[in-house]
Amino acid sequence: MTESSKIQPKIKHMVIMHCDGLGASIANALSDQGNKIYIIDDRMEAFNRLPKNKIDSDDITPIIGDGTIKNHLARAGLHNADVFIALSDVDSRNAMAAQMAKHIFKIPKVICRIDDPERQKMYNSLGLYCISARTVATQMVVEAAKA
Amino acid sequence: MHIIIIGAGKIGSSLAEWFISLGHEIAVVEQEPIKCSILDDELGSVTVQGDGTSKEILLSAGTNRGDIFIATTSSDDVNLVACQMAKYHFGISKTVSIVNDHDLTAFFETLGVDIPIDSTEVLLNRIQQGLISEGTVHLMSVSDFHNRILVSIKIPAESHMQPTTIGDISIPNETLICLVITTNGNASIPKNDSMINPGDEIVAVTTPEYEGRLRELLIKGPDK
Repeated sequence: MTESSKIQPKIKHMVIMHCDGLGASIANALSDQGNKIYIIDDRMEAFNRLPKNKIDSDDITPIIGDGTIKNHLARAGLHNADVFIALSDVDSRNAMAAQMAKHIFKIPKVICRIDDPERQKMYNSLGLYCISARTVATQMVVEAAKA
Repeated sequence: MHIIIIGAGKIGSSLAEWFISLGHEIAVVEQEPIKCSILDDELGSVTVQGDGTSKEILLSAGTNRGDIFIATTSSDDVNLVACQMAKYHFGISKTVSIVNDHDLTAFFETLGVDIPIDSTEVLLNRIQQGLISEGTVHLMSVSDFHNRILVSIKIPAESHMQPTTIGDISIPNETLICLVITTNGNASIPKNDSMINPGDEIVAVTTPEYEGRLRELLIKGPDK
């Protein structure tokens, strides 16, 4: 083993937009891997889904705000973030937030939930990494039903 | 031309009416059924009910044969995605979008919206201009590149200005007086010896920088 491979990977600063069940679960999982997570939502009660101990230990920081407003994203430390993940259930809000992250804040990795296949096609070609919770779940159910 | 308008709010509806009066073909995409039926009652069958960011809905609004695409909703994200869809899937060459959040105008331009309209700035300008230079009306901007504007200045009838000729006024740089409209409604293209009188309305091309000076000269008369 070389010396460099033993060095701990840099702690990544990740910002997640929207704290529903999916957002909270992804925040928790990425925090388990040692990343520093900021999660932004404009509904205070949404943060009840986050594990309290991780909020207390500052592993996950909730930020009250709207992920499509530039100043609110800045409050979530987007200037220094390594990864931005837009997870709301509205494609257009995700597309706008993700493109702000990419073009205004120059975040190297931007992941964007886009459920509509035609919009997904477009944003993939415009350089966003698109995922669809709906498509993945649909495929899994179809596979399971077949088996 | 075929023009697609997203949103049947006040701006979308007024634009629709205007384009129809000019003889253009339009389609208005609106999410709310009630707004669709109100506009259809007024203008004939012009609306497509649905999501303006959906390819299928845009197709049924005839975006594939569209010349101009205008997004007018109060949601910036919908306006942006709608314009991007129009461009990407249908190759629309001219997209226009209202931008509600002042911070995002340049961003919209970066992302391919050809004409982003900063609604906050437009309103702010009108209010400021109205307060600063009462009696001067901004008719339109002439060229984005040189910042020229077409203005109309009404010389108050009770002004102390003595009747004077255009030639006697040292017209500021970058300014051209195009039209003098007298109190009885006669409009003429002024020459150097044309008279201007209190009560006249002057239409001129100028810049925001020289506009105030022009107004001052017209109202007070030539420098003594």
